[in-house]
Amino acid sequence: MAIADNTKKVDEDYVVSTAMPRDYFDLLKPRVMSLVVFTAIAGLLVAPGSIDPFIGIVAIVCIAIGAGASGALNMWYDADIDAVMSRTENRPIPSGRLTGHEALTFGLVLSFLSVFTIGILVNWLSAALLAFTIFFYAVVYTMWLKRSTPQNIVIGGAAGAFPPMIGWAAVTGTISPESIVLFAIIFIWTPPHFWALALFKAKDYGDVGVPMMPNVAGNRSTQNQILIYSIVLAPIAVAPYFMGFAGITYGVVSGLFTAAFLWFAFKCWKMPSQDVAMVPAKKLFAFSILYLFVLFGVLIVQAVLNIIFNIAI
Amino acid sequence: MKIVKRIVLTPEQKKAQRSRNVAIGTMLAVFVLTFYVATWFKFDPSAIYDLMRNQTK
Repeated sequence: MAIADNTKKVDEDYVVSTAMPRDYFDLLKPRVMSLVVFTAIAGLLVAPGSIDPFIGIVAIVCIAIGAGASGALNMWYDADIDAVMSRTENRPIPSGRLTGHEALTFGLVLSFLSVFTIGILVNWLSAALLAFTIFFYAVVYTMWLKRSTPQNIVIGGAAGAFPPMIGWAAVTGTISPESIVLFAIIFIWTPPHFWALALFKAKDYGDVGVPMMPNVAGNRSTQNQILIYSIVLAPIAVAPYFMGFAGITYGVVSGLFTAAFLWFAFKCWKMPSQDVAMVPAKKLFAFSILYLFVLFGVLIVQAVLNIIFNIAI
Repeated sequence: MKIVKRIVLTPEQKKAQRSRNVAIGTMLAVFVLTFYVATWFKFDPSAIYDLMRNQTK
């Protein structure tokens, strides 16, 4: 599918856009943004110390807008391959609702606004981390790694792992081992999550020349690596309890869900590499989303109960 | 005399333009208000309470 032109040519000199605000909102990748907001809130609430609630909300909104901005820049750069893949062909640029120029401008403006706002109103460490996150996702991942190496999502996954660290830095003004563990949970979770998707969407990625692991190293190697990363993830996922910044409830829930994650990863590993339906891979992908949601959800609930009612669970 | 060409928008373009204008206006207003309130909270939280106290005297 070719990229459609959304502008109506009025005469030789002028074009008038018909883009609606909703189209710009879609550029922000709202679903990705919601996960970013969720993990950033966890980092902000778990961090020791206090932050004015209004400033805390400003920090979260800035992180959300920064993440959205990097999503817009990603859509601008990837419009050519988005138009070919079934999963992305309805995005604003390939569907013709926005031009690439509009998306680029929108992404750059929001990037600067979010970084300078969090810098001025919260602190400059969180601004520096947010700026680095946007740069890492838009330039290092999207423009460089994504089309050049099957390790793209391993290294690029760092961009999605920074939000809890930014939330933590917004409160404490520091980077500490605890915030690095929160970063590591998402960083190590990303490869099994995305490679499970890549296993059953391999054809889409192959058609557009994106070197995802199944297309380059084969399904069997990908399944092996999914299992290895899942095993590495296990001790990191329960580390917040053993490091003392999460309670017993988190310890139990993370232990049970990590055991389930390993089970789904094992089933995916056992799956014949030529399987057509790829059901175990689909189950692992779906469970991985729930897994991260539950882990950070428990952290949030624990922190809220502790802050408001002084209850430790 | 210079002839100025005017663009005549279609109803669809007018509607989209108006929606964008409202969205940009609203976002700018929220942005300004955020800085205004955050400045209070960040640099002198007591100013809000002092102001309220003075008004009730």
